[in-house]
Amino acid sequence: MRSEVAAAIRALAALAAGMAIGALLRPPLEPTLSAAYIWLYIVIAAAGFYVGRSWREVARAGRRIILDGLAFAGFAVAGDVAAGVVVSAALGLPANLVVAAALGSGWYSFTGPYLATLSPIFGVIGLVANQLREDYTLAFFPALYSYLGPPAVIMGGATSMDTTLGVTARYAGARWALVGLVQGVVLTAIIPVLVPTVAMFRI
Amino acid sequence: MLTLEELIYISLAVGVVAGFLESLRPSRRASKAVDLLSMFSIIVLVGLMGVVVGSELHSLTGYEGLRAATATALVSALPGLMGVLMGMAAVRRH
Repeated sequence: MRSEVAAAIRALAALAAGMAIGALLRPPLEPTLSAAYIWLYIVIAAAGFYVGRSWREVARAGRRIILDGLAFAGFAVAGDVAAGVVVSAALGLPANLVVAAALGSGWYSFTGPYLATLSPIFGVIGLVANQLREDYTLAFFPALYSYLGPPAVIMGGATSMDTTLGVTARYAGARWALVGLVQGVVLTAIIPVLVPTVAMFRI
Repeated sequence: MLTLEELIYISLAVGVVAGFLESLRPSRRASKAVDLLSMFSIIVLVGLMGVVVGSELHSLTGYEGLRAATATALVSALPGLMGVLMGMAAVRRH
């Protein structure tokens, strides 16, 4: 689990360093975002690689685990949409962009850069909110699992196939870690389609 | 000229196919190369997005800033919690 914490710390350190540079130098957004998109395609291709590579683990997991993972992925998407609608209504923000940010399901390195193409502020919200979701899962999963049981795996969203898999395996056991793996694989495969579709669907 | 969305779908599809092929003929070197590339690209991407966040911070003042901060705080916690609650309700019904 140490490697997951190290990955989260590295990402937070990169965000903090970037924020400091951005606040001090205020570089123009266009070239910064253009450079970011090149890396975005690499991040997505690498995520796709992990999805493609996991088919054996998913196939071996067994029917019950696959069905639970699919159900959890469905609840994760439903929770994202419901929360996005509530937040947009409460704050008077565009529903399509808030729901798209929520649908990131913890995949901050995709959601933030993608939403920044539509609105820099929503790029910030998509990036920071989803990074925090991953951090909350790493920090609070043990407590959530002890109070709420197996559905706590849903909190991890797309991160449950990689960064939060360790914490799930340690506190919930191998069965629920496999359910989390299926949930994460499904969400990682559908988020790059879902987020742009919802974001461009003006409500 | 391909759109951003088309490039995203192509990247994902290329990655899935490459991952599938790698699983048929596992290569430790290829796997390690992807792990390193993934780690490095996430750090660079998050750093670049941090630059965007930092340069946008000055425009996030007053009510707009408060609204963006509130949205960030709510979007970070509510989606996961609502998903968990829906999952719990479904588990209880079974």
